[in-house]
Amino acid sequence: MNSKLKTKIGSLQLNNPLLTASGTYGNGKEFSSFLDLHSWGGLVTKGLTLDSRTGNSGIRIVETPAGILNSIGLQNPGIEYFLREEIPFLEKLEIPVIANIAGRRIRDYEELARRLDPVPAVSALEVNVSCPNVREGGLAFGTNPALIYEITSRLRVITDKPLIIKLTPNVTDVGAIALQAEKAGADAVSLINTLLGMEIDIEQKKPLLGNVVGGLSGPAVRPVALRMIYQVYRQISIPIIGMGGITRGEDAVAFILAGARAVALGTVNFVNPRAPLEIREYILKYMERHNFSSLNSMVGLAHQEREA
Amino acid sequence: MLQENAIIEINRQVAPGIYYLRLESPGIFSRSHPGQFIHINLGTTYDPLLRRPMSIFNAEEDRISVLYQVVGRGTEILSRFNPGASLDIIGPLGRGFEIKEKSRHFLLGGGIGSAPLVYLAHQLHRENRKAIFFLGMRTEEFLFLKEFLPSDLEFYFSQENSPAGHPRLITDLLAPHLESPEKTALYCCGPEGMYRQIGRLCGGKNHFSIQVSIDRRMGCGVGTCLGCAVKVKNPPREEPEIVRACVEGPVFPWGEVFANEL
Repeated sequence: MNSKLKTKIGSLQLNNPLLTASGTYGNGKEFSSFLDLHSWGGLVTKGLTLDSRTGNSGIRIVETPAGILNSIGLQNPGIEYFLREEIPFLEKLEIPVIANIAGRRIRDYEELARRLDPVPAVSALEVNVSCPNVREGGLAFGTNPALIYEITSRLRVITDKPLIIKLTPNVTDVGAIALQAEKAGADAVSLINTLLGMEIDIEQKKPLLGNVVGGLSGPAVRPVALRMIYQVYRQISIPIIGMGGITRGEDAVAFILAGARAVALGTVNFVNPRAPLEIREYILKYMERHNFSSLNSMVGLAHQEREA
Repeated sequence: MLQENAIIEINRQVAPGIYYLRLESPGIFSRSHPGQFIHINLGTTYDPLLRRPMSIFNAEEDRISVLYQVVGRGTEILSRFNPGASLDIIGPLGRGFEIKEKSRHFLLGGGIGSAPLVYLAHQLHRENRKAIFFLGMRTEEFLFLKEFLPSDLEFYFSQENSPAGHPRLITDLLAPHLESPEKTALYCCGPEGMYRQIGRLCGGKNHFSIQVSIDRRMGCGVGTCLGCAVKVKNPPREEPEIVRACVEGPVFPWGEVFANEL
């Protein structure tokens, strides 16, 4: 393990800046035959809700130019099952596990935080207030700065574990939302969740996704994500976890230069399960080429004032 | 399952728009089972982005093959790969057909869906089991499949454009064989409409065991994206359950998927 890649998200120590993006990696098991899960800096779980959810019906995933649209609808077996069946696997991992939580009402989030707070295998909570694929909650929280403040401050009272608020790009001013998360005591923000999109089946003359709309991810969204991270970095001082279409080492470096202290890989896992290994290797070579002795010294460098 | 760089040995058109791709892939070959699939990476560009899931058409001597129809950009790109090139593939994926202890084995393929049944036919042949292959198609476009089957296999086909009096649907072929009370395993791969008709024809009689391979749009192919959801009913559970075509499937007992439709 190369200590040059170490990074911190609040009190959370990561051996390298690469995290799994929630909902693209299950809880890790499925990928363990392709690589050592300890190659990751940390593992972010599939979104968890209080009760089990069966997700949306009809077509749930559609390939689009350089991306995918999904409308899974937070299918998951619920917190009870997670604690009983998934934690035994996760607690054996020697990398931090970040539980991603989602709810319909603020008290769902509170209850989830209460249940996860005493679990040693869970190192931090990522609060999904930005899922585009559920009717209630989700995005409705994420687009409202006052609600972001409310939900963050209520969770802050419940847990001392690092709180990461996952932000949606489907707003006019993402910085204003990030600022409320920071004010209310969040340890970090992660962005971006997927961009709302749709596709139409022109032969059937109707929307292709069962849920009509879905979340766009993959290389297609990368420049949007990068811009938002750059923007948010100028407005808050808590760490940013950057994500959105990162596919190659160059992408990860760009996100770090824009201000991300860690980055998450999502859609790329579906195509190249070895991406984290390749990206980690690239970052190390880049650091060598540019004489960086620590990852931290790279973060936000793209904000240096340009010479006249 | 594993990721393997497989060398292309053959990638040739066997019928208009239909290609036979054979790959040297010893690791996947040694682990694969009829009904499972591989996930093919088309290269380093971002469009199309995802891997292509394709069922295994046959597996022999360190080789696996797939049969594909050029229907979009992905398959069009695949058709242009030359022998000698390598493809990054993941496999074998999913749960394939379970060979049942029955006295007869019926393989029912609809069009391009017949591909995994060719592999199954060879497996049954190796195990000296009595099998019949039924092929349903629109015109005669899939007749070439016979060349890929064990030469002594009993084989019937139907064509939707047949003149009156000739079998037009796969169920026309099947019906006369269902009168015997013999215990029979049916293995189906084709459109879901075909599965419904076969199920109705067998009328829930319990000397028939029917398995169907379910086709869904897939993302990851390994069970994490939850894109390929299939609603199944798994007695004694009252409530239907959502499972993944790529892990719990693609092959399911007929009753788990269509039970409510009898």
